[in-house]
Amino acid sequence: MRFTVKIGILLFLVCSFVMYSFHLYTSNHSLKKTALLGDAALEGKIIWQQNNCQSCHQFYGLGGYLGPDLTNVYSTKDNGTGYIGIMIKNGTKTMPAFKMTETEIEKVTEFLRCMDQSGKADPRNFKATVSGDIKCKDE
Amino acid sequence: MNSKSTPFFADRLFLVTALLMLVGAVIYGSLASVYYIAPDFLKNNLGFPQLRPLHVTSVVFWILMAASGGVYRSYRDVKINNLIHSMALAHYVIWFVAMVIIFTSYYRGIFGGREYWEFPPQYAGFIAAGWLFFLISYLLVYASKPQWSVYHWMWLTGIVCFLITFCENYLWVFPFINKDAVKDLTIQWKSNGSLVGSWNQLVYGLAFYLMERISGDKQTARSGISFAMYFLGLFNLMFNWGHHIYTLPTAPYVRIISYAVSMTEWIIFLRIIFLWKKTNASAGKPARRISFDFLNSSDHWVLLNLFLALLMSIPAINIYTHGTHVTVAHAMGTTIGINTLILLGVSSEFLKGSCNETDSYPVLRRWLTILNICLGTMLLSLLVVGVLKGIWQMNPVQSSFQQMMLSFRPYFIAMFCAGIGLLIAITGTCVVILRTFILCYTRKKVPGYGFSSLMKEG
Repeated sequence: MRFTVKIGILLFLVCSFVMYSFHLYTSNHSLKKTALLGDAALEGKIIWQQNNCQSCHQFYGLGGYLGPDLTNVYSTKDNGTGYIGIMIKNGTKTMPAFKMTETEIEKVTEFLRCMDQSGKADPRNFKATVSGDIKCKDE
Repeated sequence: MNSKSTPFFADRLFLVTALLMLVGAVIYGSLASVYYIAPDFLKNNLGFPQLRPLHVTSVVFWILMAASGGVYRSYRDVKINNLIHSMALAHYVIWFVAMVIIFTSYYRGIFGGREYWEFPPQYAGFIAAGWLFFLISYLLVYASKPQWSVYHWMWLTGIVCFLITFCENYLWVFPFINKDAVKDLTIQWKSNGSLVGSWNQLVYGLAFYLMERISGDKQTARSGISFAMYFLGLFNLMFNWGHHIYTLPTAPYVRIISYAVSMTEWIIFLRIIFLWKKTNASAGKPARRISFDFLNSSDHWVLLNLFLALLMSIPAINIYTHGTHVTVAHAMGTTIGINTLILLGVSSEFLKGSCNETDSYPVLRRWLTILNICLGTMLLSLLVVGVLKGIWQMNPVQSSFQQMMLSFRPYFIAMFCAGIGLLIAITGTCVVILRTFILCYTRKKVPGYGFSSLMKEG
């Protein structure tokens, strides 16, 4: 393969990558506007990260495997906001009890409320198409 | 080698530290796997939130330091002066400081809290600074070299892309990303996917380099098909990260582009290995050369992971496997079965210098067999758990998460036992390689190892 051909292919790939990345950084490609976090939710996100909750839990199936996916825990039937606080304070056999103040728990709950608003993580919401692609049943 | 004054030893520093990191990684991994069968084990002392980053960071440092050590080793073929040596040492010292800080922070319960390779953002500067020295030294050594082989392109791509994607991984500190939960997850997995692709370029480049040394065939690494494979790999590195986020509520084109690009990279890689083996078969298998056996063994894992990756890249199948242990099986299969085996080949080849390793061959061969059996058992148990979880999560009437996890206990016990086997096999392999190195380096001859020729390089 000639050197000029190699450089040509490389330049084409690099330019495409830069344009695609820039587009992803700047465009609003979330399907729901409600995915935007307010100040309290942002603080809740920081608390979530500081306690490394992601090591066990998932959002949209992304994260650890020891605990359940928490994307829609806020709106799950029979759970509600009180349930989140109780779990954080008391823990379970696997999960340690976290020493958080009431304000911190409220902020984490607000963060989980925003995540819940961003979409549905349950894979049962999707159906397969003949092309091997998937479609959300709500669409 | 054109060393003008001090002997070059940075490559060996990297390789030795990398092997120690690998031992740490399997110890932390084994401890973490205990949580699946005894959930309150060490819960209030060294919890899973600490063990997981300890394990992942050790693995990433193993891959990056061994890959860097392998590339630094190649400098000996070209030229090394004091400036290059100082840069390599600066890279090492900065990373060593970073490792101490990052591991201490985990023990103290200070986390970055992000997915995959995570630590507080302020420590990322150390990693980037050290890597910058690596990039500059690479350009100083190779920029003037005519007719680059494909592995020179792959190494430069790996070094540059790592720096870009590593920085991209910290864009979340800016509000325009952090405030949008879905965009944050999209960019996070875009950079994570490409980050893995970056070190894969380094590792596969080293596989080519090692193949060339073993077979003596210099044509394969310069052939058109090798470069076609390289560009396809680069194409995948840049655009094939979307399979991580098929179910994320983001614009459909993200999913469609990724599905279209798919994982063709593996097919070409397999083809190259096949061509190389054909060349090698005609030349005859190198007698009792463990690095060849490591590379040869990784071929089989490439095949399995190719199959798994192709299935997982189809969205209709991905919704069953996503968020399950099938993903873990794929990650383990590629990290241990491919990257680790290639890098163990690199470490064993380059740490022995010009020592005759014949006597350590049977021991290493035995550890390799145990490693392969244990890895196979671990992947099988993870795949079974993954498939069962996939069925559970698509079931209209679900049992609770706890009940589901409890029902997988026999498979988790199998996974744990396989993990202990891997711990023993990998530690045994590292000990033999390190012992070989120390014996060569100190110029001692110990009964049972019989190293007749001593290190002449560097």
